[in-house]
Amino acid sequence: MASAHAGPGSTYSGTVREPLILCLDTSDGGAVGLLCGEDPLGTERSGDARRHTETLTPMIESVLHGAGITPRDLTAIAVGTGPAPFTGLRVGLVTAMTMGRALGIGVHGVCSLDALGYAALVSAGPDAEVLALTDARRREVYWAHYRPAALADGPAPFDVHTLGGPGVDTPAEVASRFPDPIAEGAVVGRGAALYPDAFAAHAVPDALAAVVDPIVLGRITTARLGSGGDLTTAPRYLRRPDIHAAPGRKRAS
Amino acid sequence: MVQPLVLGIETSCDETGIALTRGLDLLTDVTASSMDDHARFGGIVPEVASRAHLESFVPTLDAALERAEVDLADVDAVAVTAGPGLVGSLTVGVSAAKALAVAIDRPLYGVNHVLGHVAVDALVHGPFPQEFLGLVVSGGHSSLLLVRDIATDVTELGQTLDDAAGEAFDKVGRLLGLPYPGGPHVDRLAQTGDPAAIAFPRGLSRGKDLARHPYDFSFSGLKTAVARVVEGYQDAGQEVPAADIAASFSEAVADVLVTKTLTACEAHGVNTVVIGGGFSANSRLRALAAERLGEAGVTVRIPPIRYCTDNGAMIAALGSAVVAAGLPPSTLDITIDSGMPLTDVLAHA
Repeated sequence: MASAHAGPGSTYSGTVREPLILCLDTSDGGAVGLLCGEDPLGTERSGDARRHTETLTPMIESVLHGAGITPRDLTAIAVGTGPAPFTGLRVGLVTAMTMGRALGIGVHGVCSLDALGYAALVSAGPDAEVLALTDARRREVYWAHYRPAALADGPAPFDVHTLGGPGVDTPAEVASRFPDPIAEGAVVGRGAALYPDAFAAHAVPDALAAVVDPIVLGRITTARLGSGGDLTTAPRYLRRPDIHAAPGRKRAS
Repeated sequence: MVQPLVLGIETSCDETGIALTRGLDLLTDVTASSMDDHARFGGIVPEVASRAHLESFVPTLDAALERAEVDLADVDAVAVTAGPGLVGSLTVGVSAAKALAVAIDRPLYGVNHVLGHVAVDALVHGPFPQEFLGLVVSGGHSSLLLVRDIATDVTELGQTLDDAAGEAFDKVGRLLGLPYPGGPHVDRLAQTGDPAAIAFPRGLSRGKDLARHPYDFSFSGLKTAVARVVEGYQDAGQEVPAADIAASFSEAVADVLVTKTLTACEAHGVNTVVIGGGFSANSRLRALAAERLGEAGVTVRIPPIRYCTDNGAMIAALGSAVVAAGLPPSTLDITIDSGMPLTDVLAHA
C-alpha cells in the first residue's frame, strides 16, 4: 500500500488494508463515491443525465485523486444496476465491470432504488415503509417499495427489505397500488416530484429532491457482502428494447 | 526498438471487436457479433446491439488478452472508436475504454471508425505509400478519401449523399425477398444473372450532377429504379427475374464506385487505392476494381474479408498510426460523435 498518499482531510492512512470501495451510479445523473471501511473519502455528482460517457470517468479520477488513492488501491467496486434509462445505465455498468477486470477486484451490483429507499428509512421505525420513485421518462416512473431490514437480534443491517418492485409503470398505476405510503408522505425520489398530483400531496420536500447517494450504495454492498445478499450486476432494464416491425414497403411506381 | 502495444476497441454497430497491435503487427483480433439477434428483425436494432456490447465486452477483452498472451499491464495505449456509429453502441465501447485507461493509467485515443477501415490494410499489406486513395464502402458509409498520412493528413473527396452502398444492397435484398443482411445474398444471386440485362441508372455520373459531385455517390435513385422494375413484373403477373436484376444492380453500384475512384486517381496522380469496409466483400466490386484500376496501372489493396467488416484490428491499427505520429492523447471527457466527420481522426471533448 505504499502507493497511497493521504490527501487533505482524508482518513485513508494507507497502512491498514481497509476495504476501499469505489461506488458508481448512473441511474439518474452520474454519481461517484469512495468508501474506506465505514468512512466516506469523497463524492462527486453530475446532474446531467445525458452526458454520462463524458462525465463519469473524470469524476472517478477526481474522487480518487482527491483522496490520494490510485486505482490499484481499490479493493472492490459497487455499482447501481438501475432501473434506469438504458444508455446511461450501461455507462456505469461497463465502467465498473471493465475497471474491476483491469484491477482484478470484485464488482458488486445494487438496485439503485435501494439506496434511495435506505436513505429515507434510516431514521424511521422498524414498521416504516417508503415508496422510492425515479423518472423512467415516457410518462412513467421506476418504483420500489421498502421497509427497513431487520435481524432477530443485534443492530439493524445497513440494508432495506424490498416489499415490492422494482417496477416501471404510469404514475396513476403506481399511485392506485400504494395509497398508504403516499397518504403518509412516505415517498422519496424525483419521480415523485415529477408527478406531484399522484405522489407529492403529503411528501417532504427534501425527499422529493433526493438522489442516489453512491456512499449509501457502497454501504449496502458492504452489508450484503457480509450477509451473502444479492449483488448481481445484471442491468435492471425493466423494459424490452423498442423494436418496430419494418413497415410494409411503399410502392415506388 | 519494440513498438508500443496498442489495444483497439470497436463497438460502433453490432460487433464487439477487440484487438492488439504492435506497430503493424497484429497480435490478435477477437470479435463477438450480435448479428444473429438482428436478422429476425430485418435490420440492426440499436438497443439489442447495445445490450449485447455490455454483455460481450469483458469476455471479448479476456479472449483477446489470452490469445495474444499479454497482460493488461503490458498495454501502452488504448484506442477506441469514438464515431461515427450508433450512439448506444459507441457509448459502451468508449465508456469501457475510458475505464481501462484510468485503471491501467495509459493514454486514451478516441479515433474515427471510417479511417480505421483504411488503416487496417497496413496490417495486412504493409506500410502505405506516400499518397493513396481510400474507398470505404459499408452498410453505413461510402466515402472516397485522399490520404497522405492516415493519422495526420486525410482529405475527404466525396461521400454518399443518401444511402451507403451496403445499405442499398440490403434494401434491394428485401425487394427481391432475400434474407437479411441482403448484401451477400444479392451478391451470390448476381453471379448467376446477366449484368447487362437491365440498364440501371448511375447516380451523379452525368452532366451537371457529375460536375457538381465528381466524387460523391447516390444510390437512392438506383434502389427506386430497382423497385419500379420489380413492381412492373409483379403487376404484369410475371416472374421477377431476380438474378438478372441483382446482377444489373450490382453492376451499376460497382461501376459508379470504380469509375469515380479511377477519375480521382487520374485527377490526383495517385497510383494506389485501398478499399475497405464491409461492402468491399462484394465480388463484382472486387473484380471490376481489379480489372479497370489494374488496366490504368493502379495498385488495388483490399484486406481479406474478415478485416473489411467491423473489427478491433482496424481501431488498433489506426491507434498505432496515431501513437506513431505523436498525436496528443484524448482527454477522459471526450464525447462520442455519431456523425464524426472524416476530417477528424481523433474525437474532441
